[in-house]
Amino acid sequence: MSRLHYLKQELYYRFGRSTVTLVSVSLVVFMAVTLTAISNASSDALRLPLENVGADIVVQLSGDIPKKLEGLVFPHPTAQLPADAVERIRNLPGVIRTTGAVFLWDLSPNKFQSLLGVDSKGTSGIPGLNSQLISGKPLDPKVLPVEALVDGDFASKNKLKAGYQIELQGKSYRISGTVDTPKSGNIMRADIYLPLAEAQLLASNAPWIIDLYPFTKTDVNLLFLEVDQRHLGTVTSSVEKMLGEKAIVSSEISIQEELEDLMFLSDQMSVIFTAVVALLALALLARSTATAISERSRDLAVLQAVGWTRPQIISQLSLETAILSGVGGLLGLLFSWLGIALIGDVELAMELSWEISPSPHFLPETDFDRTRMLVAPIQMPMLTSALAWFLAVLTAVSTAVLAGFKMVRPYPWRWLAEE
Amino acid sequence: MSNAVQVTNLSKQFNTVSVLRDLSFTIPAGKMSAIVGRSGSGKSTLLSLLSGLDSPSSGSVSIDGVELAGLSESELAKIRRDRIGIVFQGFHLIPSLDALANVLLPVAFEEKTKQAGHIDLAKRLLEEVELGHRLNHRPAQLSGGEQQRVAIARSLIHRPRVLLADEPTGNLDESTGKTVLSLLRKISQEYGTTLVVVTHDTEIAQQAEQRLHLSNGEISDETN
Repeated sequence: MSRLHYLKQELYYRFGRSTVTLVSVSLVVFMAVTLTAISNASSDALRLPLENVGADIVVQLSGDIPKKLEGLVFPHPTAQLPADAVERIRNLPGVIRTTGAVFLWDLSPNKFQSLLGVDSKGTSGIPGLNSQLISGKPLDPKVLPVEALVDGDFASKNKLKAGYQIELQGKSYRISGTVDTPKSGNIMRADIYLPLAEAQLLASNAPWIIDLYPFTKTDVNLLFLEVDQRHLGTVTSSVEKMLGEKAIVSSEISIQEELEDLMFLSDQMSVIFTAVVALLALALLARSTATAISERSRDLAVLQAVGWTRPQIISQLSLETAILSGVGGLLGLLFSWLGIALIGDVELAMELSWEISPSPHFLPETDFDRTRMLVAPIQMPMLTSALAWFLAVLTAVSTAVLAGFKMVRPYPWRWLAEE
Repeated sequence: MSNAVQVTNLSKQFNTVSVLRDLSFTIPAGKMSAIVGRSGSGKSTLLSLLSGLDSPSSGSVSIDGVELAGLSESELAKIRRDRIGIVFQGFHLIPSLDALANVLLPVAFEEKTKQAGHIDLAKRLLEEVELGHRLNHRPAQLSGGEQQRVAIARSLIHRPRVLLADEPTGNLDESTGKTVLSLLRKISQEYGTTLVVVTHDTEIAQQAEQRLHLSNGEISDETN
């Protein structure tokens, strides 16, 4: 009879006990791997907004609330960005391209709609919009009379489609097409899109805008900058310095700063949670291993009585436990892999602040959806998998060794004496 | 005649209770000795000390010329593996192993080259105890008498010099008990093993060449 024969017989004969150890180890590995995978995916999801911001820097000036919320107004906190300021920003070292925009609210007694006038160039301008066309024709700023693009959701809600007319402050515009801006990853989202010049014209004639600002047909209230990444920090600080304390300069840096706490919390909490669960599972595993060995106290005494030494008995227990926990660990990895494949993605609903949102959301009571569904695929964390398997096997074998030392006494008569 | 067992001034106390008091006796090699006494007289305690499965409070035990006191745990295990065979009242077989594997248990760690010889001997021993047809049965599939016979075969696998049997018929009916005892005698004679039987049964004791009576923690030789 070999030791392996004894081992095999023991594991088979004590099926229930073997199953408990097997399940305990599987559980440890499954919990550690799956929780880590979900946590990693959650962190990835939280980083997604950084990747979705269309421009490198968004520049605004904070302003005042109009005396009367009626007709066309600037969404607060945005204020007028004068053409000369735009020009000075355009000339800053590291700035590759600027795209001006005018964002407006159209507040009528019985409806609200947002309006964005965009430049004819740049990914945040008309080319970016046209790339998201879902029906109709692209917006051509040279076509007269001026046409408009409308957001897909807005169009379906208001039963609009290409070729229909839409009214803005008494002026009618033909809809050239509809766009799906939420999916575009561009910085801005509005109900209606117009060429920049048309929006500037509307703004310069709006009573409650010119009541606050000397807005002209060359000014904007939003500016998107594409910059050389090496100059991101210096351009950001130069713009802030140039525009003063009323400047709202959003960039990857500010977004990171804003998300830092959230991501830190998320990362830290998931690590703590995973660690606590894994520790509990390891404690369970240690307990089940120790119990399994203590149940065999009489058998261990018999082995001593027939001449097995303590190291021989402990090596037998360790080998049994190592094989059982090794297989259990592999099962845990298999279950984790299946679980991860079944879950697929992590979906996080997150209310984004202006600085990180690709959509403007200055008016919470409107239909603008500030919530972004952040979706990140869950992937098998290879390092954690290996570590979890190793730790589970190590815990089980260590417990077996310790329990063995405790159970296998120099003089085992008390386990063998008849009651 | 040489002595297989030599006990000198052996005492055992459990807390304040003195179970064995200053025992000194010898057991001759190659014979059957019986240690008799009432239940609770300390017979099993004495056997535990003779087998090195428990430690004395004072005194010494020498088995086949080897003094047990002062031996390390591993050396004690080696003595049990090489020189002592033990048969327990409760059989103490490993439930997960069949009869053959139980018999082979004491030699599980020996070299592979010796394993074939051990397997042959184990089968022969099981045939001698009339269990040649039950090699692959687990203890739960065997009767009490059959289990005790497996335990006897196990105790002889390494050809011990001394075979210690603690109430070997205690859990068996009268007829099975007689069969087991005659087997023990026959095989120990065949192998030249010293047989020490601890029993409360005077009928068994009568079969022994040496009879030691244990009473109130003291021992007396009652061999006629």
